Amino acid sequence: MKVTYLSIIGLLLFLCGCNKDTSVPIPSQGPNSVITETNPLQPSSKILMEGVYHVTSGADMFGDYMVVKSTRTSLMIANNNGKHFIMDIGHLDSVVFIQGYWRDGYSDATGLCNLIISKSEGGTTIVTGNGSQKIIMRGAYGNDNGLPDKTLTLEYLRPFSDKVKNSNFYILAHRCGGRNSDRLPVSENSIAMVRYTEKLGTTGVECDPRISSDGVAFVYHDPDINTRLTQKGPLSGDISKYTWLELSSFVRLIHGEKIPSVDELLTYVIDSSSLRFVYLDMKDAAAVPVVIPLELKALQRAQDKGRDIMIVMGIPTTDVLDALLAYPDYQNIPTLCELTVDDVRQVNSKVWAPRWTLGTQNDLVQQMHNEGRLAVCWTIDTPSWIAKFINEGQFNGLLTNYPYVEAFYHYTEE
Amino acid sequence: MNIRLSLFFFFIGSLLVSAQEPASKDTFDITMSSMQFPHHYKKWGFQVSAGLSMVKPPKDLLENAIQAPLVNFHATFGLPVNFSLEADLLTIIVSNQLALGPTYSFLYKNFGIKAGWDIAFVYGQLKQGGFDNSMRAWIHYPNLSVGYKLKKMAFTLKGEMVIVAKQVTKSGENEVENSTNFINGGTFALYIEQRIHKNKVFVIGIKDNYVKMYWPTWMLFSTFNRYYHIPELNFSWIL
Repeated sequence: MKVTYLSIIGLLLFLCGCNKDTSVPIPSQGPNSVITETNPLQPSSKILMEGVYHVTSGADMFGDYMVVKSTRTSLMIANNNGKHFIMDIGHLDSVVFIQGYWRDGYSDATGLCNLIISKSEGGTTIVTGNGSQKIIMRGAYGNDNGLPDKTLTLEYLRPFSDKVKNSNFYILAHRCGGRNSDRLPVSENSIAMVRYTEKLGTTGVECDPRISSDGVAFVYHDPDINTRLTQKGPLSGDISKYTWLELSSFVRLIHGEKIPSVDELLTYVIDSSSLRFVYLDMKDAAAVPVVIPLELKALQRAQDKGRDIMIVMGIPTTDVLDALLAYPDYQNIPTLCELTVDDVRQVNSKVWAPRWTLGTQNDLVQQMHNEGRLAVCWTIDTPSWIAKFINEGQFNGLLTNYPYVEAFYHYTEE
Repeated sequence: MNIRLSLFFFFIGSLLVSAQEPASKDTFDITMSSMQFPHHYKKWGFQVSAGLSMVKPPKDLLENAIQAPLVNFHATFGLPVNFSLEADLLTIIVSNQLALGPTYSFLYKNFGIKAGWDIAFVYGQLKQGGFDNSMRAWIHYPNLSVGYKLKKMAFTLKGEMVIVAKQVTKSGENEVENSTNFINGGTFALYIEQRIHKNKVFVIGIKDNYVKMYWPTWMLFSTFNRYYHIPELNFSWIL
């Protein structure tokens, strides 16, 4: 029988051994990169490339249409079901080189991609700013780290509609840009994620403030220190029982970053990003009186720097609502309320944020608009529902884990 | 990987050593009480096992959700010409699967082989955030088992494909997912059945679910289109 017991222990060890850490499937151009030898394009040139494109080769993989959108640091190309490209861009004379990788946000599919816009097919227009906007991107994509060998051609179809150009729609990314389970190369709720998510078409972020035992507000999703969010280290258990010094010294997020304080995160967003919306989704009511001064300080900093940005403190629960109601002059604190429209009015929230499963609720959204408030919806991840909410809803933004899908449906609106 | 392989061979080896211990003089034959080992089930004979399955869902799916063991009931009903009917009920209250299907078994000396096709209905319901969430699915499990028996012990390897014929997941009135006819992956399991007390047999099973959609976790509304290894450890008594 002893041997049988040993066998059971062996089985359990085997079982535990089956769970391997997930890797990040981001392919690298390596020595084949040509972008480093090209000249950078002016932002105005990159904007000339924006629009809806027809996929004339490669449609079996990427569908018939894709959106091309310039971001602060790169070029994003997205289709309607999660496949997206993060591309670097440069030019030599009048030839534009676009190089990077594609990913399917819902799976691990990925690969390299190289595209070129020749002189006669839009290169001259983009580089000089003169000529017709008839742009054709030709090149190839591959799988994983293999050399791109499958033809991909994108032909410019139309610019973004006036409705899109004139709208102030927010593409809001969850947990500073995406969850760890989305296998992005950076950790959720980190400054690195804020930097990365702009490449995905994000225009605003949601993050999760908590408070340390010595009263410092920081950004972290779970109530405990665990291996889903952090590398193995000396601290474990309830995260709120540790001081900020302990957390910043001994805890590293899953990809090695430090946990950011709320102050550090807001400063980064204002100083170093082009994001227009920050949604502080309070995870701990005790953090409310600590976060409010940080929020007001950040808004002042944004105003001083001429940044048009909305920073709102989220009210996801009645605990947080009660904590806010106990704060002096709470009606003048910019907030986003996930509760009822009556609660929104009580605290004079700037934004109402119902969960998506309640539907588009156009009547209530219109009421909010009439009262001078915005309405955004959380957290919507299925492409068909994102499409429905954008096409049939009146929300000012949607929170998602897949900002490139939202970008596709937003930028293709007629 | 090497550590896992070493553990695996240690585990198999130790069980074989255990099985070779001097046998008593009783007439016990594991095939008379086995559930998983392929053998000729007694015609019109009925056998039931009950047990628990411990599952370790991947962190991608689980996040902060509560873990609970699956309660498992398995029954076989012997039919003529080496056929049998197998039924399987797995439940964690908010998520349930009832599977039923015919099998054909072939026994040669100490080796057995069994082929079957189970059709399962999955039903789940859970109130979350004020919403009645639910899931219904029809799943096919074509399967093949091979086994080797000793006097008091039997080893069975079982592989099955998981084909989802229909899956509908709802949150309130919203249909979150409606998928039909996709190959969801497969499972591979090793079952060890051993006589423990009198003629009672205890079953230990280790199963690797290599699937995209793992039905007990439907309420997490996963959007991932990727395969996960989901290990499952099963203990059950043949009643």
